[in-house]
Amino acid sequence: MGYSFPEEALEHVLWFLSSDRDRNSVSLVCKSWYEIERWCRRRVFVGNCYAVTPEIVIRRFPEVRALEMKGKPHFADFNLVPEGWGAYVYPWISAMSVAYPWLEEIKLKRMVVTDESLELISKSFKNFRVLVLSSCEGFTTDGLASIAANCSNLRELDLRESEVEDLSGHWLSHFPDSYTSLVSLNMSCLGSEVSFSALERLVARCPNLRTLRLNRAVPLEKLPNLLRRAPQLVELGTGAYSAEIRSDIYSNLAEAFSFCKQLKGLSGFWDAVPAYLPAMNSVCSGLTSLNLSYATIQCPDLTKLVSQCHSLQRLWVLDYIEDSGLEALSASCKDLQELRVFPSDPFGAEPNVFLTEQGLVSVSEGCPKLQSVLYFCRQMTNAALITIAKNRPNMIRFRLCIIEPQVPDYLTLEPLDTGFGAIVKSCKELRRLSMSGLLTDRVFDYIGTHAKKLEMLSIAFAGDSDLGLHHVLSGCDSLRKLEIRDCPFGDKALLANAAKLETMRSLWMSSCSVSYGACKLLGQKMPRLNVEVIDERGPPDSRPESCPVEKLYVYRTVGGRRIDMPGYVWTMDEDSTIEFS
Amino acid sequence: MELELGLSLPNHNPIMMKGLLDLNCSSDNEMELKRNKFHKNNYKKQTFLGDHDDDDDDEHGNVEVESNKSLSLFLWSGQPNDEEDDSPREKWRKLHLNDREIDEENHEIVGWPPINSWRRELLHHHHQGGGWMVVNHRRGERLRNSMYVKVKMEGVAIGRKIDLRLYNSYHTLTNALIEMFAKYNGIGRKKVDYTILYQDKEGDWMLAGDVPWEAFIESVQRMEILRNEK
Repeated sequence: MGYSFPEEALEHVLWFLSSDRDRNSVSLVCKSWYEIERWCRRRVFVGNCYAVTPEIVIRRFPEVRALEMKGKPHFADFNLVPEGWGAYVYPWISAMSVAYPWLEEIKLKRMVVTDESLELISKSFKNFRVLVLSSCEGFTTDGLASIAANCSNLRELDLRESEVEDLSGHWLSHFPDSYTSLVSLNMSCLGSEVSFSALERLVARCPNLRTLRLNRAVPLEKLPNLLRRAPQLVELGTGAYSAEIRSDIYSNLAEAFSFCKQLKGLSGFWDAVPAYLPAMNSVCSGLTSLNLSYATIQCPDLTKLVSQCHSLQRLWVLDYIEDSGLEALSASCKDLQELRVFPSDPFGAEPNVFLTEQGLVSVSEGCPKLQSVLYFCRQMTNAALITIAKNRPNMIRFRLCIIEPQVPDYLTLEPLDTGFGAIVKSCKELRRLSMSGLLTDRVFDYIGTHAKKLEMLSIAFAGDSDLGLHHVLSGCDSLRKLEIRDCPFGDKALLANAAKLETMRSLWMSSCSVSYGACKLLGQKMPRLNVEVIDERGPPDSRPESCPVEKLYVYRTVGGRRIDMPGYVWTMDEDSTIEFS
Repeated sequence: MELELGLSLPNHNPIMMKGLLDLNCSSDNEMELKRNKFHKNNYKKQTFLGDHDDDDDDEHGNVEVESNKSLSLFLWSGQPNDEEDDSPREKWRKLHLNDREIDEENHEIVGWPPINSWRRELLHHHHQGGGWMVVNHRRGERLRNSMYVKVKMEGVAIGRKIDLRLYNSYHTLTNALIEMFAKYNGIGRKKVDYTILYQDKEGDWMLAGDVPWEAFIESVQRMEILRNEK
C-alpha cells in the first residue's frame, strides 16, 4: 500500500509526541508507522524491570536517550521484600553501554545499583546528564566519586532516599574544577560530612544550580555561605536546622534567605529548632512546596510557620501539626493540592498528639484544590470520610492509614465500608487508594462498582472472603497495581480472574490464603505471567499443596522467567506439575 | 479445594459456558468437580488511561491496549461457599495465627504501619529519650542532636515531648512547661503550685531541682508535672 505522506514529515510530527501513550498508539497504526516511531523514540519507561529484557528494548528502540525504570514491588519500602530479591540494574547498564552510547538520562526506583554499574555509566555515556536513584541501594560513595569525576556534562544527581554505603564524604571533591554544569543535586540521604569548602566552590561555579538538597551533616551556621553563592536556587533542602541560639547566626541566616527570591521549595529541617524558623520568613509567601516531615517542631511554632505560606501547594508534615494546625492550614493555604501527614510516634501505644479525623475534614473543607492525601491517624469515622468525599470530589490520590489495624468507626463501632464507599463513589477520578481500619467485603463491592479510574490499590488487614478480591479484580477497569497483605483472600478469586492479571502491571499478596497449588496452576496456565512465590520457610514442595504461600508476586512479562532469583523465590511455570493428593 | 477449570477460547463473547472442560482433561478426572454456577466475566478492552504512574510523585504515561479475552481458570459463582465450616476469614486467621511476623524486640507487625526506613530511623532516634547520634564519622565525635523527653501533666490525657537542648536552667524549663500545658489545657496561668518530677537513669522518680542542671540533663528519662491546687 502506498501512501504519499513522506516519512520525514511523519517523523517531524512524532517529534512533538512525548507521551508514551500517544507513541504507543501511533505504533499500532500500521507497520511503517511502527518502524518510523521506534527509530525516533527517545524516552523509555519500564514500570517493572522484569516485564521486559534489555535486549528486547534495545532491539525495538535503537535510539533511546533516556531510561526510567522501576524494580522492587512497592511493599519493599516496608521491609516486606527480603534482602537479595533482585532488581539489579547492571545487566541493563551493560547492554546499554554498547547499544546507547548517547544515553543521557537514567532514572531508577527501588533497584539495586552497584559501584560497578555507576562506574560503567560514568565511562560509557559521553553525554550523560541525569542520574536519579530513588530508593535504590547497593552502592557506596565510591560509585558517586566515579560519576562526579567522569560525567563532565552532568546536570542532575539525585539520590533521594537511597541507601548508600557511606565510606566518606570525599566523593564530592571529585567534581573537577572545570565542571560547571550542575543544575540539581540531592544528597540528603547521605550521612557523612562532605568537604564544605568543596561544596561551596562547587555551588559557586555552577550558575545554573536550581535544586540543592543538603544532607543532615551540613551545619546551619554554614548554610548562608551556600545561599549567598546560589541566590537563584528554586529548591533548597537544608541540613540540620539547629544551632546554638545566637543572634549573629540568626541574622546571617535571615539575610541569606532574603537574597533567595526564586525559592519555591524547602525541605530538610532535621532537628529543627523553633527559634530559627522565623529566619525563613522572607521566603514563606513564595513557597509552593514545604517538606517538614523530618522536623520535630510542634505547635504553635509549626502552625505559625505554615500559616505564612499562603502559596503552598504541597505540604509534608508530621502529625505535630495536629487538628488545630490543619485548621489554620485550611484557612491560609487555599492553593493546597497535596497534603501528607506522617506519624511522629507510630509505635506508641497511645496517641501523643491531638490529631484526629477532624484535621483532615477541615482541610478538605477549606482547600478546594486538595487532590492528593496521605494521612496517618489513630481514629476515623464513616461520617468524616463521607464529608471528605462530599467536599472533595476532585480527589485523585487518597491514602489513609489508621495506625492500629482493623479499628472500626470509633463512634458507631461499624466497619469503615460506607466511608470508603463514599470516597470511591464521589471521587470519580480517583487513581490511587490505600485503605485501613475495619473493612469487610462490602467495601470491595463499592470499589469494584465505582472506582473505574483506579490504577493502584493497597489493602491491608481487610475483607472477609474471596468475594472481596473478586469484586476488585472484576470491577476495577483501570487497575494496574494491586498490593495486598494480611487479608483472607485465597485461590478462588485469583484463579477466576486470571486473565485480569495480564492487563495489570503486578499483583502482590502476602500473608493471605493463596495455596501453593493455586500458584502452580496460575503459573502453568498463564505463560505471559511470571508467578513468583516468595517463601523463606523453604521449598513450597516440602509442604502440602493446600498450604498457603508466604508471599506471591505476579506480573506480566514478555521477558520470560527470571534467572536471577534468590533461593527463597520460586517461579511457577509450565514445568510445575500439579499433584492431586 | 474444589475447582472447576474453565478455559474458554479467546473470543468476543463473555463466558457463558457451562462446564466447558479445558485442555487439562487428564487432571480433571482426578479432581473432584463441583458444578457451580459460573460468574460472567466480561473483560472489556483494557486501556490504561493514566498518564501517571502513581507510586509516589511520579507521573508517567504508560498505556497498553489489551484485546478482549475471556479466560478464567476457575468458574465461580461469586457466592461464598456455604458448605465450609469456617469462613475464609476464620480459616485465614487460624492459618496465620503463628505466622504473623512479629518483630520480637518491638512487638510490632512487620512493615506496619507503612512507613519507610528513613522515617523509622528518624523516629527511632527521636524516641530514645536522650538519643545521641553519630553525625561526623571522620572525627568520631558523638554530637548530641536531640534530647527529647516525654512530659506528662497529671490529669491530662496526652503527654508532650520536649527537647531539653532548648533550655539551660530549671527556670527556663519550668516556665516553658507550664506555658505549654496551659496552652493546651485551658488552665489559667495562675500561680498554681506545680511539682515537677523526673525519672532518672536508674528508674527512680526524683524531684526536679535537687541536682545541678548538668546532672539532671545527663540523667533525665521522662518527666511528670503534678498540680498542687490549694
